[in-house]
Amino acid sequence: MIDHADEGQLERYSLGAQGETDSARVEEHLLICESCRERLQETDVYTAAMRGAAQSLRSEAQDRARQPARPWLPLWSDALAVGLALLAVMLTWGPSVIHKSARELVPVVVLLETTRDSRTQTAPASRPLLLTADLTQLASYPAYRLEVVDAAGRRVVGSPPSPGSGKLSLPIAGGLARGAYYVRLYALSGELLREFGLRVT
Amino acid sequence: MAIEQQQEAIAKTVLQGISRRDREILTRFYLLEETQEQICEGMNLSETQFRLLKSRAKARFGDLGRRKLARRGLLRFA
Repeated sequence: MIDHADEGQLERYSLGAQGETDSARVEEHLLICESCRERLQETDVYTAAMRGAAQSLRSEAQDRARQPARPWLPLWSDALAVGLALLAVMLTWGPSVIHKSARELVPVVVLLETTRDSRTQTAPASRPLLLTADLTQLASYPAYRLEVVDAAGRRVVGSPPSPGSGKLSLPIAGGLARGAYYVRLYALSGELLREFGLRVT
Repeated sequence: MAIEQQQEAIAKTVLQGISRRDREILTRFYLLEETQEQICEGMNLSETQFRLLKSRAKARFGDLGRRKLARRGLLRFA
């Protein structure tokens, strides 16, 4: 009965970790046993692969250790740095953007004077408007209302009847498109009290 | 990729898939050529534990190798 070399023996032989006597015994067996020679070949492949892999991982670990130490900031410092950079951008350019947006939200006041020689008022297009009619020069009525019509006389927007204590306002949140308009001031009875020209540019 | 490189890549996968301690044990054995006795004494493990670790690593190596070959259609089962 042949005593085949066990796995440990083959492994130690492959690694060269056996003493002379033990190595000689294994070699004598290998001479006559093809099965063990094949097993030794597999063991050689395995030990070489493990040696190479261990070396590779060790080198990588040493390279990592040799890299300059990270600054005192922790690992999430990259995210923090990006956040701070974004904040800096917002603080630098943000106010101008915000200012512009806020400006665009503030309605433009268009004062409609009720004197007979009132000129055509102008207003910017697509900006919130606040049409304000000064009623102090007019006879007193219980209530008034404002109405905006386009050049063809079509009603665009109007205010509900209001007592109008000296002034009557008509907010137009979405503004008006470019064109010519007329702002008409009516008494509650429907009497047209004044008409103002409004050019939206 | 040469066969040796493939084998090494598989072995690397095996080593990366085990704990740091187990990786240290196998590194001492295969790379630093320490004896079983030295490793067991230095890392406070029994001979049985050492053999079991080696056996599992080798089995994993064989398993990964067979899967690789099967993916490439090179492994034919009788």
